[in-house]
Amino acid sequence: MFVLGIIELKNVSKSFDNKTNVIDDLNLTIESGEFVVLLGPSGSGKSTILRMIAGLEPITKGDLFIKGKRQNDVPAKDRDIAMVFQNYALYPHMTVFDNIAFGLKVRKVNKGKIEEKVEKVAEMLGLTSYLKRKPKDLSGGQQQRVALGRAIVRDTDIFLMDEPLSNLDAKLRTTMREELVQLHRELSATTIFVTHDQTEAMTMADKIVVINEGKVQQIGTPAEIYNYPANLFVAGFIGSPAMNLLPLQENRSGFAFAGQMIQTPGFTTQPDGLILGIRPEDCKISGKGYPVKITFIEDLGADQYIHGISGGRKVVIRESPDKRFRIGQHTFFTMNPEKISWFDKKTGKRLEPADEPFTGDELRVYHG
Amino acid sequence: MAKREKIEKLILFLILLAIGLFMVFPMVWMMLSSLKTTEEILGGSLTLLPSDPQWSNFPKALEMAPFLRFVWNSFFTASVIVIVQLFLSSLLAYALTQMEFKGRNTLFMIVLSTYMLPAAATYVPSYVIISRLGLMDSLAGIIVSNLANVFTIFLLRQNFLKVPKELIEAARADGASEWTILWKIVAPMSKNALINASILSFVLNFNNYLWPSLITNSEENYLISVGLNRFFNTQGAFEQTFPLIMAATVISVLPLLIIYFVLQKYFISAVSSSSGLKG
Ligand SMILES: Nc1ncnc2c1ncn2[C@@H]1O[C@H](COP(=O)(O)OP(=O)(O)O)[C@@H](O)[C@H]1O
Ligand SMILES: [Mg+2]
Repeated sequence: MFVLGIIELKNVSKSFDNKTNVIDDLNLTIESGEFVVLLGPSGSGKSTILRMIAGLEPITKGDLFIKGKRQNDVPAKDRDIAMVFQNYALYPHMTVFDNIAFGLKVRKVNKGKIEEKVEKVAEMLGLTSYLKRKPKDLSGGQQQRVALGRAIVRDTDIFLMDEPLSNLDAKLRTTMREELVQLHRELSATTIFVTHDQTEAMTMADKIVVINEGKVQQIGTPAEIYNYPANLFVAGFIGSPAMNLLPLQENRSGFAFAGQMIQTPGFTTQPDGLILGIRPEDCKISGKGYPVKITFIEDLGADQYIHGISGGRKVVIRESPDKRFRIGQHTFFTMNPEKISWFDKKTGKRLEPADEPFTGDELRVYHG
Repeated sequence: MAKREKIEKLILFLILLAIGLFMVFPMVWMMLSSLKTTEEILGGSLTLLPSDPQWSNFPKALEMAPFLRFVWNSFFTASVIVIVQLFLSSLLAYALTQMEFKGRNTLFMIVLSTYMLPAAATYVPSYVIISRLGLMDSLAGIIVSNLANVFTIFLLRQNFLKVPKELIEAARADGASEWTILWKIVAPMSKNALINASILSFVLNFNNYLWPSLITNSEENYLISVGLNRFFNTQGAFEQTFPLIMAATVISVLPLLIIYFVLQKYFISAVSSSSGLKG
């Protein structure tokens, strides 16, 4: 069989009750050295995917390949994958040294070598002076580092991380984010990182896999996912505040929003109703355009987000902080036509304009 | 308010002290009696302390019967039972808690249901099995028939359940086998439960009487409880030997007392874990 990636899931399904599929017909190829983020809301099946790759959860249907070898029946201990858990899962009765060394000890690496490696990893993570402590005597950030150290010391080329930063406070999370990216650059191990936090995904990923209800919604670089959401779910999930999603009225002469006709391109497939998607930063308050009544102003210092009602819909518009608006004000806004995304109302899928056909290389949209 | 609380505490303390003294009194009385003469013990006047400590009671008692041998038998069988029982129970408790297989809960229910069985009901079948195995009248017979203990299995299972699932999975991902996980992760994390179970099992088996008395005949295989009973109940001159009985009894409880003082803090949790679970 021709295998491209270091990790490949082919038509993988998972069911816990033999009735509903928690993961449904998943296809995913992860290439060597990539930093891939599985992003999705809580309960979407991210952990389950990771656990199947690690061998902690049996695969109900389909095949998992790692480095070209089928892994479905290989027990976790023989997969040579390092995993970092959300709650760190440090062995409480062992010192930091023994925690990091455990994976080497069970592999019968000789003692001198273990010491050398553990010390090197400890230095890399700033843990050298904590090696004799027990996990309970460490701060959250230090525990997190030990968990990372335990994975790094193994010298494996695949890392799986299940929301490893979610227990840290906001500031530490930002620092650890940078450190992880740095670490990935140094080790260049293939990393699959699970999170429900889109900021983490956007800042760390080479490639994002958006998951919802056990199905892949879109695979792409952070920019692709942000600029060309493949469907309404991705459009609504990525970005904060979210993309404005405005259903259009269809009449004899075309499509309209808030009483204004809207110029639509021709589409490769005939849509069954249209939804227009536009990000807050691609809208502008103006003397003309679509009428909007301002209901709420969110001032973030660097920007202000103007919330309003237009055509019976909530819209959010990003404006520079120096302009003055007031709640209750009636005004207008315009959209940057180049930044509009079009979605089929019925299927929720992204529509591609026919006159500027999209090249498949730029955007890998999953049609499933 | 604070004063009333203090008084309440004092009263409670005095009551507990009285109960405590009441409970240890037989033991103290036994120890003191082992140094007295027959007349002192059974004579008309009650005295607490021996007027002239009769240390010779001890060598005399040891001459009457091989009590050291009996103590050793009890100590030896109890030790072997504890070690093997903990080893086997750990394996079963691990399988019952950390491994997935069909009928896991059913298996546990079956194991647990044998706890309801009165011990006496198992004597006849056990007797037959031990004799078929050719282990009658041997220490091996005593050991083999006490290797399985439902309570130990139950206690370990409850504690193994407390080990977070994530730790087991982390160890698996680290490349550890189930065997390694049991002995390097789960067992050390359940250290207290293992010590508690050892203590309870050791005391139980050290003091075991009825069953060993049924399957042992020759003196060399007597446990201390059996030996004490045979030698003094069957001897006519009970009164004459009374201080010697006390001396022999002191010798018999000595190993337990030593263990108690060494492992005092665990004894407390062991007893409370057993009473807490038994109701
Ligand atoms: N061991 C399990 N037994 C039954 N259902 C499970 C189990 N683990 C996860 N699930 C279900 O599978 C779905 C996906 O869970 P999970 O992979 O943990 O999601 P995520 O990590 O994206 O939050 C959820 O609906 C969850 O309830
Ligand atoms: Mg999860």
